[in-house]
Order: sequence, then C-alpha cells, then structure tokens
Amino acid sequence: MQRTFERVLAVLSSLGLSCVLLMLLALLTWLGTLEQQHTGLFEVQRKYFESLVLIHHVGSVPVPLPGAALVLGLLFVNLIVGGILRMRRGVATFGVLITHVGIALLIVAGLIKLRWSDDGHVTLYEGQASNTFQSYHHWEVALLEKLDGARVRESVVPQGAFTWATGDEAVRVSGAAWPFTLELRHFAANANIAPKGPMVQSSVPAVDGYVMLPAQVEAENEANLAGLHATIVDPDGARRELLLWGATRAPFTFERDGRTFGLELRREQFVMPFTVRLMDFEKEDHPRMAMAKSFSSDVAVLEDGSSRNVRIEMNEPLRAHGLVLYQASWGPSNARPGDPLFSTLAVVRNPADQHPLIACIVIAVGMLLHFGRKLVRHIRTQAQPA
Amino acid sequence: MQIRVKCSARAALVVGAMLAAACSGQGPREVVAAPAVEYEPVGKPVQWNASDAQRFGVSAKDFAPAGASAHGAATAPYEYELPAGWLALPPAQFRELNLRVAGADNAECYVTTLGGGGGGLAPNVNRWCGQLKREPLSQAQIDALPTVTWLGQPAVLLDIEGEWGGMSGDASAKDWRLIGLLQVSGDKLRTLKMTGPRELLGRELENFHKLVASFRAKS
Repeated sequence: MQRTFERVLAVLSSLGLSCVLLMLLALLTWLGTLEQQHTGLFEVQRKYFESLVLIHHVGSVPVPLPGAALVLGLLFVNLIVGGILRMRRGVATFGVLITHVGIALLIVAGLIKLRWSDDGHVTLYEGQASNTFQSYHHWEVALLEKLDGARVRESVVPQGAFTWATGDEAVRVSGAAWPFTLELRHFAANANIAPKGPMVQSSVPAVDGYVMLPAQVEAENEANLAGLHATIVDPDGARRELLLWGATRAPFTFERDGRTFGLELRREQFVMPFTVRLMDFEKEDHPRMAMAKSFSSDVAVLEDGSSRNVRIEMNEPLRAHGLVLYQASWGPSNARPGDPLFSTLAVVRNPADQHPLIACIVIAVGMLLHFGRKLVRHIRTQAQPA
Repeated sequence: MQIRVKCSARAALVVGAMLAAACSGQGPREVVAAPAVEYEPVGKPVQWNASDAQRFGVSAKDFAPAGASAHGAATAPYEYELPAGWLALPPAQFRELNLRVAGADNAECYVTTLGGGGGGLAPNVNRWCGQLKREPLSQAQIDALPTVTWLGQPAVLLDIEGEWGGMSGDASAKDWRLIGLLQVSGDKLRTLKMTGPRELLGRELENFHKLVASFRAKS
C-alpha cells in the first residue's frame, strides 16, 4: 500500500505529467477554436472547456478526450504536489515556488468563476429601470405567487433539473408550501409556438389550441427560445396542462387555495440588491461612418431610498455589492437617426473577480525574484577576472 | 494478489456505473424547487391573468405579431428590395416576411419557412391548388412545373387562377390568381406566395420577379 501510494505520488508530481497536461490544454484550445466554425461559442465552451470528458469527432470517428476541467484539475494537483510540496526549498527555488503559488491561485480562480459565478445582462431604454438581470444562456421555470402590491414570492427550478426531460418521461417538482406539484416534460432547447392547424404537426401534445414545435438549435445560443410542456397536478389528482415558452410576455396564471400563482419559462434571472435606472445613453460614431466609436450609459443607482449617479463606459464598469456592470452593447442594430436606443449592461457576480489580477501579480513577483537572482549571479560571474 | 484483483474489479464496477450514469443524460425524477424569495420586480411588472394569445403573442386566429414573429424576425436570414408601391407589414405567424402588394388590402405576398420538410413539395402545391378550387396536380404535372432561382437555389413556380376559397375555405372571391415559389432546402420548405385579384397580380408580375431576384442571404 505504501509503495502504491508513493508511486501514485511520484506520477502526480512528475514533470512528465505537467508536459502531458499542458499539451492536452493546447490541443483542446486548438480543437475548440476550430469547432467555432460551425458551433456557437457557448456550446464550444461547454463541450471543450467546462467538461470532464468529451467526444471529439475526426470525420466520423469519435475520439474521447479529457475536458479542460479535468485537465486543469489534474494540473492543479500536479502543481501542488510537484511544484510546491515536493519541491526543493531554498533561495534558488524561492521565486519558482512563488510563481507556482500564483499559477495555483489562477486555477482556483477559474474554478470559482465556473462554479460560483453568475453572469447575464440588463437591457434598458432611457428612463427604464430594473433590479434584476438575466442570463444570456440558461433557462429556469419560475413559479410566482402574487403578494400585496407588486411584490411576488418566487421559487425557481433551474434548467439542470429538467433539461434531460426531452420526451414523455417527466421530472416532478415540488416546493415548500406548494398546494400542487409540477410535471415538466418535452423540453426543447429551441422551439416555436403555433396555433394548432391541419398542417401543423408536433410530437408534443397540443394544449388549448396551441402546439410547441421543436426547432433546430441555432449556433448562437442566445437566439434559441426554449420550450417545455408542464402539468399542474393537484393533491386530488386533477391535472392542468400548459405550454411554457421562452418568449412569452406573461406567466400562466392560476389559483389554488385562494392564492394566485404564475408559471413561466424564462431566462435565468438574478435579483440585484439595488435598482439601476438608465438616465442617458450616449453613442459617438466614427466620423462619416455608422460604426460606434464609443458609447456610455449614465445611470442612477437606487438603494435604501438614496440615489447616486454613475457613468458606465468601456473599461469603466460599475462595481457594487459584489456585482460588476459593464457597458456591453446597444441597439437596435437597425436604428435610424432619431430612433430611441437601448443600452445593454453586462452583469457579472464573481467571487473571484480580483483573483486573476492578484495571481498575475504573484506570478510576476515570483518570476522577477527567480530571473532577477539569475541575472545578478550572471553579472557577478561575468565581472570576475578570468 | 486475489484481494487486489477483487478490489480492482469492484472499483472498476463503481467507476463504470458512475460513468454510465453520467453518460446516460438522465437526471433525478423528483426535484424540489429552490427556496422562495420575496421581492418587488422593478421595471417589469408581472402581467397577471394574461390569455394564451397575450402570453404567446399570437392568437389562434393568426393575426397578432410579436412572440413567435420576434423569434422569426430575429432568425430571418435574408434581405430584399421592396417593390415600388408595396407595403412591408410586421411579420406574423407563419409569415417571416409579410408584404401588401401594391397597397391593395386584398393582395398579399409573404414568405413562410416550415421545418421538417413542411409536409413535402407535392402536398403543398396541391394545397395551394385547393385554395383556388383547382384540381390537384399529378406528380408528373408537378415535375413539369417551371423553376426559378431564388436565394441561389431552384424553386418551383406555381401560377394558377381560380376562385379564392381562402386558406380555410371560408372566404370567396372570383378571378383570383396565386403566384408562388416553393423551395425545398435541407429539411425546410420555404415558400413565397402572392395572392390577389387576377388583374392586379398581372400588373405586379414584373415586380414579383424583381422581388424574387433581389432576395439575398444576410451577411
């Protein structure tokens, strides 16, 4: 057992393993880049860089490969065991040790971003306000309960819970204090809704004169509108079927036990601890061109009864309560002079937001120490008389 | 040695089962929703008690745009030049491009793309024949129909006259003409269909062909 453990440790800490892992990372980067010729960025990111294992097709031949998440995980272990714990300690290796600590911090930052960050956007016309932002890619089923005034009580079911339910088999959802359960089935990553007609056929059962038509998934994931078949099941067995679709303008409203509920399929939504109101959006075009040179948003940040004005522009984001709001884009793209424009602010909540910067500083310090020492020694050697 | 082999086999079974589960794509069949949160949405008040037509932005009577049309408009892959005197209307259900011919209320021209083959070329040709109360065409007659180039690919041209029975057979107008293109592209059936009074369509035939020639894929 002891020998086995030592053998495993030797492999995990070996320079050979480092080289293999780095080459695999380079390969995955190259393959992922090529894949973007016919697959959108979101899908490529998910397949090559956020997975543990993937199947890459060379023509019609499937080739299993480790995903970047697995490779980076092994690289982290290799770095800790071989590059830090088992490394010879001394003045000569001090700079290298610090560099390795910085790289390990960078990998940890990547894991935190992958697992614990939220990102999306908030899009506003001038005068509009919002206290939520929504994901570009992920969906959720939201159950809203109407409370006093405009307040709602909201429970959500993330996409991961029902994305596999693409056929008749349902995922059953319950919630705290729900007087019913939900059955979700026939999930489609991209779909249209159409009135049921003689020429309209679908594998999804029609509901109330409407059918859901699964459509080909668009390469650009932001253009996909998901669809889902839902059933509200009461304790006495009564069932109410309905269709949920990503482009609906309002939830499906129903009442149970004197309570008013709404059910909808929507882009994953996050509540911000403040409200952002777009006061003014400015766009400057390049001279004699219809291409934007710069654009910025003057917003009012409203929280706890107070308001402060902030300008958000390229490289000048708004940072508040762990959120970062960047000026991402504007539209509509076919706006004519004088048409009202909207501003899209990208929103990121990343606990490791500053970690890459800190890691790069640590790496730079380590490399300066290591190569600086080498340089000094070289100069001294050169200065000695022959 | 025997114990090590047993352990290895057991470990292999566990790993294999995990991999199989991971690869099966299935998830838990019973889930509990995330704990509820209470808040007041700002900027997007919830529209309670919306009808299905309001939710989807399209009614069973096929007149409301938005919803599916927003989706269709976002993915309509072409540009065109509007003929003089024609009007561009908002896209509608099954009409990713929706035009009024020469400003006439009863003449229209629209593009529809149906997935899954749309039922095939012949059934759609004969569906159009039925709308003008014409006898269905045989396969040989359909094969003999002329073709024009539309969006770089051949499209079958159908030009027929008759009594307009409407799409559901519940309307009626004599001396009607239908000029349309049907194009099978991959698993899609794309059509450009112009209907209206025979005389009006006769005058606008040249504009129709100019419209067809002006179609191009969006860059």
